[in-house]
Amino acid sequence: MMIPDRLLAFSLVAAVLAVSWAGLAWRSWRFRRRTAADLLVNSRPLVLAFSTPDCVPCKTIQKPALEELQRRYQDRVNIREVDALAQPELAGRFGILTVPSTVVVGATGVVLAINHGAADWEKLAQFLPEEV
Amino acid sequence: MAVKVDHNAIKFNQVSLTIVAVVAALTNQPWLVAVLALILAASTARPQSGLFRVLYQRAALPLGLVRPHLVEDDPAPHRFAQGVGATFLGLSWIALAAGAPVLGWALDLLVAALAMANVALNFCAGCFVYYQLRRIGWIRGAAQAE
Repeated sequence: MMIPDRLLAFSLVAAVLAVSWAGLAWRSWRFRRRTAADLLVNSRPLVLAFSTPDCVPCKTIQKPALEELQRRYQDRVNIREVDALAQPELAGRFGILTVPSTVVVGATGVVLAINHGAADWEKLAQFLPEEV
Repeated sequence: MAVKVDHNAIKFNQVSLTIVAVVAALTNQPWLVAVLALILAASTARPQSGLFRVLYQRAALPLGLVRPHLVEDDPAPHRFAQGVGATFLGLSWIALAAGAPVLGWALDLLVAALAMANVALNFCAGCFVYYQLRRIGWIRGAAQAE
């Protein structure tokens, strides 16, 4: 019976993706419990954008989103681009698994979000405090 | 190595790949998986001669279905991702031919799902693997290799 085989294969792939997603969410939650007050400049919220020199979506998707965020928030938020290969200790501190990844740090140093994969400016903005 | 890469061509490639891979599974046609693996392998070896690239340039662009989106970047990760896709589809076809349909179709659908994750969710599975391999030093970047 080929149809049950293919249904089983589909279920298997769905399960693998669901477990991967859950694992990623749990890992992000674990790293979000850390603080990063030492990285803040002038107590402003910070967006850390992890990339590598040859990361394609970092240039084509993430960088324009960061530019748009900076344009809208001006100097009320600091955006710091980080080469994850050149600064592995910083990448390891937030459990960065892929590039692009972004980490949003609030004005108090609390890690508000860790996004694996490209995040548009609206997604980043929703983690920034209202008063910003 | 900075060259102009058409990112809409890459998305066209991923959507086409997903359609063929899903159609192969729905209609139970393992030969389509083999053809898809060959297309991706050829495209990895010579990107300009890949079937989906040719379709993009000779059909999708002239018909105005999509417009080019040229970005200066390194094409190595794209070729790497295609190579990984070709390998998985090759393994999928081997599994199907060897009488392991669940594994075979699972690999086929996994490639389709990851291609769509890139298009729809901006999560690049190839980038994930490429980054991890570079991090542990198994792959050297273009900037380092020069």
